Amino acid sequence: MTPLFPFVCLAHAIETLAMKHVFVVEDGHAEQKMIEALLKQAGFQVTLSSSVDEAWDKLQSGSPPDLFVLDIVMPGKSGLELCRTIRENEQLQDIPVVFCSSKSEEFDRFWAMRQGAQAYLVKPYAPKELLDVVYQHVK
Amino acid sequence: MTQPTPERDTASFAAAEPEAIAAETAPAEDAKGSDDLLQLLLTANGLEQSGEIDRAREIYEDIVTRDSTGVWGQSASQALAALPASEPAALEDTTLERPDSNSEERSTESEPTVPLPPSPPLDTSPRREPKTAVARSRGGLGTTLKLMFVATAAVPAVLTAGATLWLAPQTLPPATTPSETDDRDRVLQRQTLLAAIVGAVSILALASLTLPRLQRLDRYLRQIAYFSKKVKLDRPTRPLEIPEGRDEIGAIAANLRDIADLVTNQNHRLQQLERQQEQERQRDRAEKDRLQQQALDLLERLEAARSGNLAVEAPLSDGAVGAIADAFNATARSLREFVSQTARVAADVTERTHDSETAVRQLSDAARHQSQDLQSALDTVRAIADAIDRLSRSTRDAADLARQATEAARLGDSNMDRTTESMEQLRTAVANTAKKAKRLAESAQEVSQILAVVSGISEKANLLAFNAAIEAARAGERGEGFRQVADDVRGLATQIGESAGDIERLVGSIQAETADVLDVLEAGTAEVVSSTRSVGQTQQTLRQLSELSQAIDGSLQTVARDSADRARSSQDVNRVMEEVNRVALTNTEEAQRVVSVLQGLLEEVETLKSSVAKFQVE
Repeated sequence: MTPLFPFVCLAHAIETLAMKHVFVVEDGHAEQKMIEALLKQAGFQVTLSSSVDEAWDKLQSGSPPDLFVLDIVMPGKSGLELCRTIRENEQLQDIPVVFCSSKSEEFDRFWAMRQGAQAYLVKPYAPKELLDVVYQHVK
Repeated sequence: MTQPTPERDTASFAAAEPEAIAAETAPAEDAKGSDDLLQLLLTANGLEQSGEIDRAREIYEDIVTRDSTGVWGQSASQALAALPASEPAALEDTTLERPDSNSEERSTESEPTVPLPPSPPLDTSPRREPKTAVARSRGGLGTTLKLMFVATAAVPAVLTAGATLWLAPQTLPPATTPSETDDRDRVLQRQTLLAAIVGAVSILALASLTLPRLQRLDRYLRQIAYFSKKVKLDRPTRPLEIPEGRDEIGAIAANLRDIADLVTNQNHRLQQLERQQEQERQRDRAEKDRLQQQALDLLERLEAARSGNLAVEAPLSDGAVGAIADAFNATARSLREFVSQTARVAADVTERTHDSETAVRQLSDAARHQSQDLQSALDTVRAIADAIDRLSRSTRDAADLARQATEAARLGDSNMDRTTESMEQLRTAVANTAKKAKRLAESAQEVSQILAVVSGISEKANLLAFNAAIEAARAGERGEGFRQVADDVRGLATQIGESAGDIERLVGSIQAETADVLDVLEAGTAEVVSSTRSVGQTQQTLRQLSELSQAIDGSLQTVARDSADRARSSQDVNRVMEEVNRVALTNTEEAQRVVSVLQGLLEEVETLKSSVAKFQVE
């Protein structure tokens, strides 16, 4: 342990505080890993959830994130449902939501945006696409 | 718009740079698992962000070859498709034109399995040909037609108008008289006829000029129509007999020949296209079937929800049906919440109503009991009032009696006064009698003393007579007379003695009688004294009795007053209790009404519950 350890810790804490927080709800393991890795590489703090209920529990306890990345089709409640819940919540309603879904039809995009999302990515997407969208919408 | 600024990119990826380079320099042999693929993807992304497009492309291609169907490979192929071209490539044209991020057309273009047909030369050549034809034959058929139109339309009109104008100034003097007016009309008719003749002549001349041209044009057009019909019917046809290059007709003929060639050449291509279209139709049909199936699934769920099963969840398929399914799920979810809440509330209301009903029933019973108690209390109070009334009457009677007693006592008192007076007089009389009796006794005693003296004298006289008789006897006969006298004196003396004894006995009896009288008088005096005392005591008692009666009278009057008050009070109490009883009765009625209302409510809630029970929420 170096004598600089407290400063390192402090610096790390400040960095963590300054990092933008992205909340990801995605049931696919590989997709989770990819989104997490991409966002972390780009300097974001990432919280992962595999289902809407788990996500909602986490949101109740933690501080509100800066952006949501949501899958749509998941076991249990859908990402659309979570998006509606987020938009009805006073603390979360202004946080941007990005959907990443394999539902590729134009109507799917229309409907997802109608639920209050800011962007809609169709899977599979290029890593840069995700990062561009996240950069564009994160506050 | 989705493109981030380069400054931000470089800044944010500066930190990731060493990692990326490290991952890149590491040999890719061990990149077997998904972690390595992910690492490669990150590396490629870092390189892409930092501008090293070619290296990024290599790594992306590597990922695609390793994992063509997985998440990594698909992402990499998407990234490859989005990479800006480093060298001009025919294949990249479409991807370059397309926006980088989520564009509207992306969903349709993202199917790499259906290749686009090679760009046909058909599109370019006919587009260029008419341009040159138009350029070449400017002033050709179009101009001729325009000139012919102008000539047929304008020349007769201009000639007629000119003739009219030329004739007008000299032949139209101002009309002042009727004869002049007739002249003017005639002149006008002539002029009109002249102008019509000029027009007709010019039209005929022009028609003779234009008709052959129109006929030729007609012929050409018929040929073109026939030829194009043949081309349309896709049959071998004889060539067009139209000289080339003179005007638009020539150009059209040339183009038609080209088109006929092209049609022939592209037949197989059309067949190809037809096959493709057939495939597409099949795909469309499959899509339609899928859509129909989705709609049927959704309808089934809707039907289930309509019949009460709100626990259904429609699958989120792609497209509009998926969106409708999502909206349906959300609606079903809120309906579930609503139904659950309603059921909860209904159960709660039932429970509370039962509680309330019991409470109100108890209240009602209590009120009824209270009313009954109050009724009996009321009866008691009425009895008390009656008793008080009777008491009041008795008190009044007793007061009368007391007053009568007082009066009687007062009367007795005055009688006693008179009795005392009589007694006093009696005592005085007895005392006087006693005094006189005493004086009688004293007189008797004096008589007795006198009698003793008389008795002594008699005895002395007897003794003297005896002595005289002894002297007379000694004196013999001469003494006889004396002895006689002496005997007589002795008889007298004995007689006196006997009478004195009689008197003495009489006096003794008088004394004894007097003593008896005295005794009786003394006893009478004592009797009178004690009687007087008794009378005084009686008087005292009578006075006390009178006072007592007066006191009793006063008390009774107070009692009478009090009982009057009490009667009033009991009337008040009676009124109050009647009021309370009325309230209690009202309470009972109200409580019964509330019970019936609650029962009605319970029935309503039961109806609600049975309605709610039709819905399944779990």
